[in-house]
Amino acid sequence: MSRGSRVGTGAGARRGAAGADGHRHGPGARRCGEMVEYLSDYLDGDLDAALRRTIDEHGGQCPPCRAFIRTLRATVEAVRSLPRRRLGRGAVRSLVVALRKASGGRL
Amino acid sequence: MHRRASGDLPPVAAGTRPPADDDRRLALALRDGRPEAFEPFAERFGPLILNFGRRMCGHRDDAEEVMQETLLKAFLSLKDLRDPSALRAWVYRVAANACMKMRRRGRHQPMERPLSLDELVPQPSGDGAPPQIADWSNLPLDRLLRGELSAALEQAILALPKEFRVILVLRDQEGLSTREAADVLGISATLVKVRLHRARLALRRSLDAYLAGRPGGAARRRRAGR
Repeated sequence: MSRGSRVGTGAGARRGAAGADGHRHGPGARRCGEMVEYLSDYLDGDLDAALRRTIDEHGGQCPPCRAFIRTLRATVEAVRSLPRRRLGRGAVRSLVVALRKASGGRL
Repeated sequence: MHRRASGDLPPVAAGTRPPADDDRRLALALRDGRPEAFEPFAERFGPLILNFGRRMCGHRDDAEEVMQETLLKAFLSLKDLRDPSALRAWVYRVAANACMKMRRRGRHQPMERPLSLDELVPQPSGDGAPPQIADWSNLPLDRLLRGELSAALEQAILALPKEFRVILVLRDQEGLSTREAADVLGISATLVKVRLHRARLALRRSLDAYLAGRPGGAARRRRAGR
């Protein structure tokens, strides 16, 4: 889904990765506070090209925002990397037997 | 762990999703009341719901209870499933309801409080100087996740308010799309995005507190904030 430049996942977020209303960290940078609400959409590839380019350019000029974007990305990757528990075939069979018993003959 | 300076995230690594046609065939067999379909159903969805329950409840016993209740309830109520291709979302919906009920019974329930954006993003200092933001993204997180960081991150997920946690788990661990997560929870896609974003910001803050003091983290904090 492509998102326009007027809607962000912050849904009214007014403060940015750099925090201050209207604060600019880099020369010529857009307001840092405008960046933060779009960052999940940015990472998920849900932004339109113009807004995406704006964030890329801002990140190139603003070290705090660049650090914020990188660590947010690393956070999501870490969540996705958490190990999953596996359920062996024997455990599934036992589960099926137990559930059949518990269902009172409905399975 | 692959890391890029910008651009899209890779797909959820857990990517255990079978083809949609398989789900549809299985759903039709279950809806026809064929008892032999229960075992493949349990094989496919048991492990998914066990992981989902563990992330939501934080305790193996509760996760197993959620799994059993979900499989049985989903199987017995499949006649109500209108769209057979929506089997996966249907099962997660039953599981999410089971988790919410279990939490209402008061087990493993952290204090619920809203996620304030002011707390989730670094604020500038009083003199207007930019905040100090550590860039710990180049630390070997994949190696750290094999150790204590994994437990710290799991605890941080469990500490999220449940309406944020369930979306983070569905989207970033179970690999559901925004639309699918919205269907599972019966809320709008926009609300899914808003809550997912805040949940991610909250976890970033937790990891920042955990990692910024490590060699590399603090040093990079100073450089990034310069």
